[in-house]
Amino acid sequence: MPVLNHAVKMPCQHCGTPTGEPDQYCCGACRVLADLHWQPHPDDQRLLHWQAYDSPDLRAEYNLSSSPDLLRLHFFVEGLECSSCVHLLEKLPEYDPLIRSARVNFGDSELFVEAVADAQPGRIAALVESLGYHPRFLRPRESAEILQDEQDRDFLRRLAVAGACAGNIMLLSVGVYGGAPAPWAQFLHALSILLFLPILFYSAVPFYRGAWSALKARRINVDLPLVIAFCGGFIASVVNLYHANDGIYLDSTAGFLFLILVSRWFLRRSHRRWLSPGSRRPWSTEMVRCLGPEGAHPRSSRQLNPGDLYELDPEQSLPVDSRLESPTALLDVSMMTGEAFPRVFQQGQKIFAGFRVLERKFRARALCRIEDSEISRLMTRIERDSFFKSQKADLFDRSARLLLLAVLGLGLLLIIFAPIFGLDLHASFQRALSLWIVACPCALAFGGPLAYGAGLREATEKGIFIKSADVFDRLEGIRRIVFDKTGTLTEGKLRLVAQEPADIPEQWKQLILSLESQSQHPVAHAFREAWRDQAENPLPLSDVHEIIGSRVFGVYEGQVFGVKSGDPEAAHLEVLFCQDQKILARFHFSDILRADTPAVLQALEQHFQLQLLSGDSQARVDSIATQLKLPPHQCLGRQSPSEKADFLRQSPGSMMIGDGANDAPALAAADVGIAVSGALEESFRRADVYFSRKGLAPLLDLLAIGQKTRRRVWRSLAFALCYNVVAGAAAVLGWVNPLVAALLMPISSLLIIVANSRRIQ
Amino acid sequence: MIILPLMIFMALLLGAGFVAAFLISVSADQFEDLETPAHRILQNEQGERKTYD
Repeated sequence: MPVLNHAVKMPCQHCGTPTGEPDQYCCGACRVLADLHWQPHPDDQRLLHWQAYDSPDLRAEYNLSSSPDLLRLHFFVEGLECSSCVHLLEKLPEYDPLIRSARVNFGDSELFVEAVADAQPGRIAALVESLGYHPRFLRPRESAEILQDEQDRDFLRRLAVAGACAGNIMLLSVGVYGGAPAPWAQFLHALSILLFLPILFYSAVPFYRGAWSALKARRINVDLPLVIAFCGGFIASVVNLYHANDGIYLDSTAGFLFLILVSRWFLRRSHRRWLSPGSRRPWSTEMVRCLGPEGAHPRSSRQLNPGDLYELDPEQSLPVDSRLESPTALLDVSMMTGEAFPRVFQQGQKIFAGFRVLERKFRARALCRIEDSEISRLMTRIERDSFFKSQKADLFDRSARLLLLAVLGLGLLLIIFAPIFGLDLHASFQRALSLWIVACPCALAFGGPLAYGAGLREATEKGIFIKSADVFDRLEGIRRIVFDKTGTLTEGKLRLVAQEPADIPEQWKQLILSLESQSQHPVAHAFREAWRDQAENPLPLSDVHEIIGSRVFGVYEGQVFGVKSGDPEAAHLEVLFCQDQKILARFHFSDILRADTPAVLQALEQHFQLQLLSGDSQARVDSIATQLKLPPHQCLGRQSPSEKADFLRQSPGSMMIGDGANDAPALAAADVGIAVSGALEESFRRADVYFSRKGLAPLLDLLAIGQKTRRRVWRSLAFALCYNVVAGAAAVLGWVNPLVAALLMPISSLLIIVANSRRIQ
Repeated sequence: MIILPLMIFMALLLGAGFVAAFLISVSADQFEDLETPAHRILQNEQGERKTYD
């Protein structure tokens, strides 16, 4: 968690965590805790900023407590570094008498606060902020998530009971195998049966539920033979004990059930831990300054109503579809439309939620509520697409089902037609039971989760987050890869690519940098980036004027110098440097390809059909296509979000890789949707896979891991099949009694675990 | 030999005790956050400056 420079390991003055410099503290908390008399003082500005959260609406939204005399708040806190941060935040009740308790979850960077009902949420947030952290209110968790937590706990309980009982049954059976004389053996068996009851009636309940719900849907699943196997094993054992026969195999049945539970638990945990790390992060509520008759006051964007006038600062995103009220505004629309260059909007134009403010604060009037914005409606539609995608059955389920049908049918046939082969009912039941136990798709039950778990883990280590394990199966059918341009193939920011004349005099560079020094326009950033090593030497300019998005000019030594935009139709963004009316230099800016793009595409070209879909102009798409040597008909520009989604819906076997909100519908519609590093939250939430490393190289890793995982899965399947055919045949022929079957099964499972465990560790 | 069942029952009872303890700790959310308690225990209640030599 601590993001510190460990190059020079001087201990923090307070807690001893290595920090960068001598006589320093590792974080604000340590500084504060070192001074015993320090008290937080949330200043007026902070209080004003958080004031909106004191309103009844927001208070109700974020209060987790159902009791009227208690306020419970849940924060995501940025800036937790060390133990002192935990200490300081949990000292909150000392700083504010209204706060009753504060608990930190260090791993998740979360803070739970309980306060009396009159406490103000905004004040508490301001207090946390004055301690040096950046708090964000979290909404009560969705019921699905709470349910999952409860299921996890429930599963853990069942697992513990099964483990304890199975362990004790095995210990007791040691006595029997050791040759205990008759009455003692009976006694030990009876005890085993007693110990088996909690497993049968408590630990195994999820299997009954699974089997029953599958039967109700007229399907069979892995749970069914498991249920038959251990119920049959239990009944047979009890019957055999009653008749004082041999053939009591409670120990292996219990052990087998316990192992199955462990493998399921492992799968659950790996899903919780490695799948969709971002789904736990909430939508951040954007605060805007609302301008009413009584002056400016902060308000949450969720409270904006149509007709409200509000103000936004640079770097903020538009919360709702609005009409521009300031004369002009420069907005980054790339996340919404895929256009690489920012656009200038004029007063009265409609601007959409998701546009990012680049320069100067501006005013806008809300046209609708947040849920009616274009983007929200887009997202609702995507929700539907994602739902349909999750309906596909995975490879394991399908093969397991086939195997099960065969095994169950064969067992039944054996019992029904036993008399033909001259077997009595007892013997044929014994054989059928052996078959069911021995052929129970354990290898499937274990092999799948383990192989997929190993794949997920490997992917996570390479910075690839996968939301659902069946992505590995879906990867197999991929024939075509569809790329977004801006931010995916390219870096998504402007670079200086050409200039005319080739040699720019030092003084011109200084003039341009000075003119652009206050600007947040991407061109200004690109100039600064390109001439980074330039000595810092600002020239004294007078009368600097900027017309947003089009030009900036100023007077230097009596002459007017200016930087303005050139030909808007050029493939590259053209910028002119002028003295009075004379053009001194032309600069071309472009959104250049990521460094690894050509190599990755070349590697992919041999196996996949590559397609480029961009919201940017056809001219810019063509220029990228030429650089990448892609055939022009495979590169389409001016694609709207729904056109992109339609394309993917109509071409099965396609993988989409993109970053912007305009890609989100396509990501959801694709067989596999991938969001690259830096993607907007919406597309991240819709994608099946997310790359946390920059660039496209993770794509090759993902394909390799997918292939490896599928190979591992097939190996497990092949093993299971061979094992089942051999052992099943032996069982049908009566060479395997249920005891041996029950011993074989955990052994085969253990083999699979051992084969896979190297990769799990 | 009557000591044998007695010992077995005592052993089972002991085992049941551990299972019960585990179930209680699961219900008490002790397995929800495995990281913070390790930090919490490092806290210096009086706020004294620690020394690292």
